Amino acid sequence: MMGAAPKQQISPVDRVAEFRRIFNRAEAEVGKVIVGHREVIRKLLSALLAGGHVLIEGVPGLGKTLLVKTAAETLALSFKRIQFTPDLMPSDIVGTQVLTETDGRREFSFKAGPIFAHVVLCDEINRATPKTQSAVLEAMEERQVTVFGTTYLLEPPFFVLATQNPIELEGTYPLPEAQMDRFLFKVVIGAPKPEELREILNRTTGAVGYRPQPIFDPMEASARIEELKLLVREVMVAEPLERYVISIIAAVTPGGPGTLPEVSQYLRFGPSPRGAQALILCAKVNALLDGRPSISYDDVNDAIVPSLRHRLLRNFQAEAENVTAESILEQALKRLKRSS
Amino acid sequence: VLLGEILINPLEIIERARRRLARLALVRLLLQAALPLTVTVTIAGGFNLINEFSFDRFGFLMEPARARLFLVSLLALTLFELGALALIARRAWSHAGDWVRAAELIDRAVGARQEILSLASLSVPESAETANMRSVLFPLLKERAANYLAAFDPRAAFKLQVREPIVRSFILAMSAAAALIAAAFALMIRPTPVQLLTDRLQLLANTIAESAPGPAQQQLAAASRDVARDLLSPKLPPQEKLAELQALERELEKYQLQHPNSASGTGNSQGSGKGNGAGQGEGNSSGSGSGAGTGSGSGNSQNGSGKHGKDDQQTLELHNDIANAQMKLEQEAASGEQPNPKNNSSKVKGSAPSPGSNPNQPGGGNSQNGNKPIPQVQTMASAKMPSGESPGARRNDQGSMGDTHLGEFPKGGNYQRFYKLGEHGAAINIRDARYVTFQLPTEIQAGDAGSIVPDANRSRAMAPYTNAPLKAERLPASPDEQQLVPPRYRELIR
Repeated sequence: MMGAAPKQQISPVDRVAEFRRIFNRAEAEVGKVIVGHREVIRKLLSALLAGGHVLIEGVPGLGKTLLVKTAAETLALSFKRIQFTPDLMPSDIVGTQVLTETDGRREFSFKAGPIFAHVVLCDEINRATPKTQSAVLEAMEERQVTVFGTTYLLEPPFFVLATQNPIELEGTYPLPEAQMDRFLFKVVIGAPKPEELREILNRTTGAVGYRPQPIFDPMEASARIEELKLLVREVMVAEPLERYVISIIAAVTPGGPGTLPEVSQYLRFGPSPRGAQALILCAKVNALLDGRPSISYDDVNDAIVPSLRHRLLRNFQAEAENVTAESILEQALKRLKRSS
Repeated sequence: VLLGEILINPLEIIERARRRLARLALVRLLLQAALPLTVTVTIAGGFNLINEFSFDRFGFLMEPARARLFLVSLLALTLFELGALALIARRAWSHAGDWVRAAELIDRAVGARQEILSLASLSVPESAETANMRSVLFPLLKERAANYLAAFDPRAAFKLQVREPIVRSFILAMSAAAALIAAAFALMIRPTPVQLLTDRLQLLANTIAESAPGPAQQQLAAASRDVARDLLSPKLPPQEKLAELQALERELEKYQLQHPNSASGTGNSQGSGKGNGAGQGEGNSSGSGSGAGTGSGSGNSQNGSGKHGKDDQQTLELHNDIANAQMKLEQEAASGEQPNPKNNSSKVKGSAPSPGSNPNQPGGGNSQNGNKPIPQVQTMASAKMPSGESPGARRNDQGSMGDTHLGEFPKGGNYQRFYKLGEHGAAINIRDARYVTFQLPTEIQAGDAGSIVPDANRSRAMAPYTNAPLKAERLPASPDEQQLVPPRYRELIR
């Protein structure tokens, strides 16, 4: 376990080094359980330290739930899992007032739902009704829930990981664009490679089980993570890089001043300002992971696809021609690199 | 930032790099613009040479008015290029000297990942008031930037690359030269005889003025320039131009006789050339009565040259040009006699003497005001009559008696002046010529040192041959069909 070190007592150099060390150790601990998917793990931890939420998309059986659970264990954070079903009610998530009897007196008391945890896994979020989905999404944005007129703050770090299945869309309720926009990243988990699959089999079918080692003391994990999140915010962004981020957003926004031709052809709507925020935050984490106090163009480029892919609303032509948001973003990135 | 024992100020290094980049941008721009500007100025300065070369080689020349316009255009183009250069230089200076841009270039040079850029961007003077709002990581950024810049030397990192600007400059210069020369050639024309003579007179005036600084020579040069100017003047009538030209020709002949070493071409023939030339001129003047007219002029130059050098060639060309111009002017004068409200020749027509009334009348000099008698076309034609004979002496002439145009002398404008075969371009085709007038050349013999001198022992032809018919009333008998040219001279007139 690592001891807490007050921010004022250590130099910026040490703070950055500490950030890198913690991140790398968490990554390594999660990697002990999760085979492969290093980029997914990295993005997940980055989103956690950037203060955002992650939407994970992948077919069943790829270890999405295990990934989230392992990350929570590694960071010594409380973890709750909610399996979303069509009959799931908002109160099942946020909690409700229940009538209790204490010393002969009956009174309503609040019974917190599973949303009250540091790490919440919303499994197959698109199977719940929009009403239930919005209950979660409100908590994601406001980091508080209101039940019967009483507002309850969610303890930081509040980190939601939602999964959705790209197949079996029958009877699902796809997330509205406005709600998709609230996820910092959308991470796609692909099928493991053969050697990864072999390692998965070895780890999961043998007698010895792998468990991650928490890197924080559970009592101070929350504070440590909040410190790291503050450090991420301290990373500097030069004005040219801000302009670069803005040009990216403009390039993939239909009808904008710097819109690319394929964007106008295939997109109905582009990213909101939240997309630019996500780009900057992710770039900041990337810079810190590289030991730098300021972001670079590469940091931004690395964040483009996971930050913006779920914020692009394709039109009918794009769906008919199977033009993905990722391909549009890659084309936009190529154009921007050429012009810069 | 203190690195070991070295104190490094990253901002100062960025500033040095910024200044160097600005200077390099300026030098590159100047290199790029140098050749095109030089080409433009060179073409403007050497335009006269181009004009002369074009005329000598291709026979094309730019009119003085067009030449002036072209030179003014070149001057304007040069000024425009200078102005554009100043504007672009200013922009290049400010662009290359941009603080943030310089930092970005340093980033690339040292391999930093936009850390120098971030430092520069967050340290610009405009952001100084936000210094207290800087991130806690700013010292780390400065330290890392100092590490990168510890071994950075702007002079070594940003060197002057001359190849690219010079290649661009060369391409621009070639394009400019091609465009300007094409424009110059497009404006050139094949000069008329008068324009040709004007140009040659200008050159002659310059040569005289340069070679002989005396007042008489300067006066002659000024007169040549005046005549050249008047020849191109559309307001002067052709008769007046013709008179001026004849007067100038006499002056030139006089000058050549007095200055055998002058630039007009008789310098190598002082001994024999001078005597022959004077004799010829005198004989023509007294015999034919045409004064120092066209015939005597060419005779002087050919007989008096003695040694045919370059100067002789120039003299010969000058006289040929004068003759051509005279012919052209005579044609204009002849056409100007027709009723034409646009022609100003009517102003002087009344004061001109009748044709042939005074063959010894000087042609020019006093004709500036147009009131003096001016030799007319037929005066010139009569100068081609056989020397020493009056029209009455030709009563027994046997030539061209079968012509249906009996009684009409050919007008001056209808005759052609001939050169030796191949002497001045292609031979003139006279197959369809009705009348031919020519004078036989002097017999020559070999002189000293391989020179060719006139043969003094042989008789000289003093009168021109012509097949022009005489007036019918003066013919007592039926003439022959044609005045025959001796067979041995027939080749000369082809």
